[in-house]
Amino acid sequence: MVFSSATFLFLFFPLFLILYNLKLFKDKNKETLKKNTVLLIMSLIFYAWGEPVYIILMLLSIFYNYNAVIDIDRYISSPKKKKLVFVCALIFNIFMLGFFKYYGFVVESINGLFSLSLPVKNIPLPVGISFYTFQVLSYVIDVYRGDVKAQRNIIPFATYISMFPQLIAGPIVQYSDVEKQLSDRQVTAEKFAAGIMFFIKGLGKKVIFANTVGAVYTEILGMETATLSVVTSWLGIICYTLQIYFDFSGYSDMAIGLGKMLGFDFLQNFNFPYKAVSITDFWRRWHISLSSWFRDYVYIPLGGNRKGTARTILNIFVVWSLTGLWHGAAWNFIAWGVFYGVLLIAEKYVFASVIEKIPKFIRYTVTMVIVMIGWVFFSNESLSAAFDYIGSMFGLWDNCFIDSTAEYLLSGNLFSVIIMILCATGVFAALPRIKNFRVNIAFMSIGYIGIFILCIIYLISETYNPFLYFRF
Amino acid sequence: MDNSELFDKENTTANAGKSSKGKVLFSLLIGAFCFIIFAGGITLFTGEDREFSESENRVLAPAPDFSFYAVKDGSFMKAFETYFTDQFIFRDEIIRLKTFADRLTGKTEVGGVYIGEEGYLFSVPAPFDEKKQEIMKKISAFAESNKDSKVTFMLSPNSSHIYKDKLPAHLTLEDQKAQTEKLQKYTESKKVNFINLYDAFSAQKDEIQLFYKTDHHWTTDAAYIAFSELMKSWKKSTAGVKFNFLPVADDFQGTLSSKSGVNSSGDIIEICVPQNSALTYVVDYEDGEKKTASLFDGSKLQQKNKYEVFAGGNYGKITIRTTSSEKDTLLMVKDSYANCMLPMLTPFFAKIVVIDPRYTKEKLSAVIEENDFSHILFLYNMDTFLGDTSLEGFIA
Amino acid sequence: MSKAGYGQLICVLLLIAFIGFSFFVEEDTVKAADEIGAAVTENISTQGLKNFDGERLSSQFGFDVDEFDSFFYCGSEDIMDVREILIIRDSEKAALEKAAKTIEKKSEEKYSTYKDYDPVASSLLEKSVLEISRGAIIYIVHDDAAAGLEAFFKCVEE
Repeated sequence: MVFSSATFLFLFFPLFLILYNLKLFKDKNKETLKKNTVLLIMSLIFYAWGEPVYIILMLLSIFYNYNAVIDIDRYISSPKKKKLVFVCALIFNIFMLGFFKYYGFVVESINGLFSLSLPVKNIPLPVGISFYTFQVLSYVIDVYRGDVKAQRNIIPFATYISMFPQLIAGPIVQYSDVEKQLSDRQVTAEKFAAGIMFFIKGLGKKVIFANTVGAVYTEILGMETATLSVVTSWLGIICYTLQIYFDFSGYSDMAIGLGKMLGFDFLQNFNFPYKAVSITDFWRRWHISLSSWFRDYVYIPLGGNRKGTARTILNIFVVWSLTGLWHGAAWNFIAWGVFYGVLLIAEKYVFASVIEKIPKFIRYTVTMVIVMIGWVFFSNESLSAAFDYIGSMFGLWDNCFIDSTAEYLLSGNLFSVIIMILCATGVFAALPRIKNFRVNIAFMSIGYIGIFILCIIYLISETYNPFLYFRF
Repeated sequence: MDNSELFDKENTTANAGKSSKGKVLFSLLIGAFCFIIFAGGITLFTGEDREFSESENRVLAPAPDFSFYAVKDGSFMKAFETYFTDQFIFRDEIIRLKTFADRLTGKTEVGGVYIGEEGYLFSVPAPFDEKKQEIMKKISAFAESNKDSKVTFMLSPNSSHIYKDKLPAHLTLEDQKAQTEKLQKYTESKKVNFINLYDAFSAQKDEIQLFYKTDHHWTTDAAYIAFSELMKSWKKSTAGVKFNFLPVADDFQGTLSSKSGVNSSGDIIEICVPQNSALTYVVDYEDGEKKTASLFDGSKLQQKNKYEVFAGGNYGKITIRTTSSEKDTLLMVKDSYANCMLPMLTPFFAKIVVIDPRYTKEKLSAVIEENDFSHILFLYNMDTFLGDTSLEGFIA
Repeated sequence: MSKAGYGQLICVLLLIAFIGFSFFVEEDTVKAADEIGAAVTENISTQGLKNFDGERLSSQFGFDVDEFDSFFYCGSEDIMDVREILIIRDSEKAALEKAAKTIEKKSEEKYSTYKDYDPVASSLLEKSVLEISRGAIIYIVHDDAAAGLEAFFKCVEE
């Protein structure tokens, strides 16, 4: 199930709210247990709605890791055994993710490298496996390190892994961040209202913004790349840049909002990445939960930057190749990751002293151009298609600067693209607020409900499917 | 660390969550949100399901059947989502609102339809296909081998070309005039009389409405111009026949309107009836499946697609036998543009066989073998000619 | 070994079993296409449909029917009636996949012909089912396509 579907919004979620908030027990602990149980069961239904078979996989992951962590905790005094259980758990989780996500890619790559023809079976990717495996790993590693206590009760643990707000598209919630809330959390009217606002904001980003610009980019991708005018190709990549941000951060906002309505506080996942003035800055603002996961569980354990320059560079490369690979099982994602690895190293070692002296405006422009070029690699499955597109952006194929297609696309979309750019770069968010608190809240409430209704209009009319007798 | 501190950077909504002053105001937001989501769900279970959508002209999805396999492969869930959105309360109104909003924001293309000026809607024209020269060559060869029949090829441009001044600003589409001339060049045989309607249409496009605003078809007036061109080329005189034009509908919302959801003022449909009291005819659909004495089907004026008033819609084969004193017989290979022209032709032929290659499995060779035709006419509009491949199969 | 240790072991075994089930061990059914066809048509209405021979099948889809182990094909004589049920059995997976691609293409072509012209036919084509399982292809264009598919799965998995 996805949040932006009628079934979720109007059936699943209302039903969930009733069950979740129905007060059965006076005792606080019992009530929390009931809440966790409802959340767990409903999350499993939520997952099974889209992936009826792969739910088995998630349940296996939950049971395995629950037991593994109990063992790790038990062998606290015999490091060897503890290590053995831990390594087994790492292998189990990485194998599960690796097999279901990368099997086809690995076989195809081997076939390509050694010109073999091993049979490739297309295994559909279990939704959310990248996210919940990373959550499980963070928990297992934290327990092994002694940073958090092992969860002895399977219900809160299973709830943590399968919780529907962040199950499908993150953010990656680390166990230590929600440990307390799993056994004790409060929902106040303010928090619930803030949750609604977050949710509606995210839904709007996804349904109104991302889908609209996404359609423009799809249309441009459908054209002959080599003959795109410079303006068209830039418009296309700007649209994709906006689409991927609104889509992804919209999903995170919805997750954070839903979390708040249930009493959880998830960490922020995006902080206006398109305001970044350097690549390092960009990655501090983009998909924060993933970057911090890789920092905490790969980069720092590898030695981080404490083992000399050569080792640091190697570590950065490892982390960024993995980051690329995490986004998808294809070479273009690895290329995209390495692209950023190189840039971050360059920023750190080559340009570090120069950057400060460059005017902010130029730094910002350069950063955004680099980010957009990154998205070209991200969105084109083959590297050659990506280079073709970049060529068009810089007029390398003798394509004209502007043509009638570009003028037409601009006339239809310029207005909405500018609005979206202003939203994405935080210009609107920085506008001064109404001073009077009550008036401010009233305005915001009306505004958000308006956006919510608009989202529903977009959602329903997307399914407009007229039947035409129009064969000429 | 306090999480909400972090949110503050991006979001002021979290600010709101920290203070307790606006409790009442918060409950307003919570109440409205909950009302919308609960009401949206409950209304699915109240009232009867709608079976048919008038505005979308299709059967709406019914509640899916529950079965283990349907759940296992996920098809039940997909069907349920379709069912839910199809039956969603105020569905038609919501869609109309969206179209309205789209137009407000300056969107000029909705659902693959360009929204032009003065209420004109245009379909996206089919791209030119060099392979079409094969057809022109085949028709040439066919004409060479059938010396007894006059072979005519007539191609109508589409409204997006004739009324290109009414297209949305900055939009340029393929030049159908050049395309037509290219096709004419591929016609090698002198035996094929290629009629290009472009000039005749361009000359009269401002005085006469040649295309419907809400539909992709030409109007009966345009068909009459084309008909006159045909008569000129066949050297037939229309002097003895009077053509009466009668409006039969003034609220025609055609396929372009359905497709985009944009309703402009309705189009007027006229029918053209040749006045010749002595003339009667019998129309035979699909070799005896249905027989009528009229080329109009008035019942179709009650439905959404009123263009089907002409010849009752699309049939693979129609045979018209007339009491005309003429000896000539006509084979017409056509798309639906021809439908409104058929009545005009009846006084001038003893027999007309009308073939729409898209809806028949007959072959040209077989049709020719069964009958002798003095005239053979291929009548297409540019879009169908470029976009459809059934003509190839028919001639082969 | 501890209780939790057994828990982990069971999970590992179950994971291997799950991968095995979804991946390796899907043995072909031993049944011939006719038998599967009979099971499928038992569950859906066949009024106005008749069984066709290989000639009709090859003219419709361009198959060389002798290449298949067995097939079952029924449809209607009426051109405007698009209902059809096709089952192909073959031990070679690649051949089945190729055939399925052909069917898919044909089906899409047909849909684009009927789309916007015949609502009944196009809605049937839209919800037509095409699946490969246990060495057999099933392709159904029918009101009861879902029921037919269910019967098919039941039959080949027995």
